[in-house]
Amino acid sequence: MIVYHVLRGVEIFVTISIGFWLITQTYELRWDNLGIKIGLGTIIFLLEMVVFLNSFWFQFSGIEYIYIFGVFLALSIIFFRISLLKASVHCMLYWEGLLFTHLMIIFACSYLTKKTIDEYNKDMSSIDLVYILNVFVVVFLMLFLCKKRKGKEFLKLYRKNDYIYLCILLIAEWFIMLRFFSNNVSVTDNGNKILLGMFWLIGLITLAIIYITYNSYLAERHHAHLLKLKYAAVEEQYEYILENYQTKRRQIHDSNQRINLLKMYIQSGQIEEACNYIDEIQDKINTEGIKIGIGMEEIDFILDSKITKAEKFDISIRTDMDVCFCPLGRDDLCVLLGNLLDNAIEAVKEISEKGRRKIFLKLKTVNNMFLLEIKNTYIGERKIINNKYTTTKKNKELHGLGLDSCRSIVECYDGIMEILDENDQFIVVVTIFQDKKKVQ
Amino acid sequence: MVRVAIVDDDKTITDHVEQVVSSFFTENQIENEIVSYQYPKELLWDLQEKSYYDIYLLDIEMNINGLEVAHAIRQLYTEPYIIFITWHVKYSLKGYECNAYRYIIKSEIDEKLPEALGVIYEQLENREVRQYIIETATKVSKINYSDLFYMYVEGKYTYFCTRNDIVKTRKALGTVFNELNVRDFVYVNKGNIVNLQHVMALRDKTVIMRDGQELPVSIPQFKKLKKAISDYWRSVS
Repeated sequence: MIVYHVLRGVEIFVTISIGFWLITQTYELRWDNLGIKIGLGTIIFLLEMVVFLNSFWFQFSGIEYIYIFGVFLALSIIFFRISLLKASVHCMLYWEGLLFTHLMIIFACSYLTKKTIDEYNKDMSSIDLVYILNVFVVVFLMLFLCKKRKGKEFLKLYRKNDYIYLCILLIAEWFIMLRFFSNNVSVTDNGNKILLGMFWLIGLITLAIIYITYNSYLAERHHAHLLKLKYAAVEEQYEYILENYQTKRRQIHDSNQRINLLKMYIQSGQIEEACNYIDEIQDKINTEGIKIGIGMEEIDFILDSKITKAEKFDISIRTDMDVCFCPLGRDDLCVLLGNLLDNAIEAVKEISEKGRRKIFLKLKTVNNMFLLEIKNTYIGERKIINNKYTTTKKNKELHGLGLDSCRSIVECYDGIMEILDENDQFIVVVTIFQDKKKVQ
Repeated sequence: MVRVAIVDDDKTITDHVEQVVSSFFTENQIENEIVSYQYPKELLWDLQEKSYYDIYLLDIEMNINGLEVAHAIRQLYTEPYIIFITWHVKYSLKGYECNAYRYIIKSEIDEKLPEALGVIYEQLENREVRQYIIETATKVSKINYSDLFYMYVEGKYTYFCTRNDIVKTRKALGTVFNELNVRDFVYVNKGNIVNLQHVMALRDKTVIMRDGQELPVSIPQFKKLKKAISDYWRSVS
């Protein structure tokens, strides 16, 4: 019996303490002073003691968890800067996770020893393999959680809606799990069947929870990738500006020299030489000049830098421009246009015949709508998986994320992006149906 | 008859451009009317008063941005040709072809402008004018497809909302749709057909037409409409 109480004590101490420790990783105390910290510590200790003493009077029961959960949630909200929704999801997930672990162990053991689940439920107070295993697994999981979530939020979801869905699922799961642990069900004739059904239901809900969390993780990863792209675009802009600055400095220096030379020609009466020299300079200026055309700085800038890049690979970019406004914000435009042009350049430069290295870009505004079309030739095969073109790039780590990022930008503006393959040309068509800057 | 508007705040430029344009039309014996504006606002006022030009020559770097003027023109008409005149060197430096007429550098006006006008004039000449004919007991009215914004049904009549007025005919919307028989027209809901050329924007499941009218788009049509607009403008050069 003593062993049971010691194990129980360890379990209670570890689970409650680590539960609070996880919250302290990302949430600050509402009142940051020593008194409050000592107060909270004392309350946690008292809570642990109460729960521990409870194990002398009551049998191990699921109901107990709901009390711990309630006090845990109340303490989190009172002492930490955390919203009710987040705190509920965190606490529920944590305590349900524990309950679920118990459940899995009971199920596994009952399966192995060929006892019914009901028998295990009744045998909980006696020390048996199940209970020892239970404590060890829980302690091990807790330590693992500590290692994994150190300095990180216990559960970080990207969208607020995900918290709401998760909250609903977790509440549903609570109810089922509590029924599972109560002895009322197993008393009935079909007790074991109902228990099994509940077990599967819990399994299904758990799968749904995992799905939402994973989806949220994907969304966050995607967001992070988008930020990375934006950062890369800004970096590229910076380099471009720096390069242009150098060129400008050189040009100013050159023009001073030219003025001096012209002055010399004129002072010495060599007018014809002066005229010839001016013609010569004019040609130079025409080729050195700013390759800027349509009067919209952000588009001009991207096109100029990408055309310069394409030039290095002997790629010709043909443009068709009829633009008088741009609904996309500067950073979105940089990522969208920059990414699409980069993709096109990447694909085209692989072509061995220089004559076939061609990119066609069309930008058009019509009424209050904005259209973008980019066509390029390519070699190799593109595979369509789930209606998406997969990358032909060798580095598959960021597999198709570039186009995905473009699509998510376009969808932010309620627009559409189509990817087509016509006559061995890869075509991306983007249409945005309004001239307002941002929808969201 | 080709009508041309030239807008530049520098009078020497407008005079020069006017001379180039006028000599092109004289050489090719084309009837024409050229109006020069030094203040873009005057052009915008004239447009409000229903002035129409086939070709606009705009300076990009005016005190009012040339692009804003172009946007204002495009709010009213999609057909006119807009040529931007700029001091800057465009992308078509070496190896980069750009479309023939949309951007002309000031130093190349003499050489490039007549070339551009030639291309545009040819396109203007080949432009097909399609008309829808409505017969009533008292009169026959013709509506240019390009002036027809949208149609709606009320009772037994189909109403045609055009640039200048509303005309009705005692026909079912479906019959009219079949008679129009071009892909410019698309159903947005059971009771409305719109001309894609005059769809200004889409917002919150409504379509905004050139006259400012907002028409609801039915949910099954919304996706199709987006695709139709995208395809339509992709195919129109």
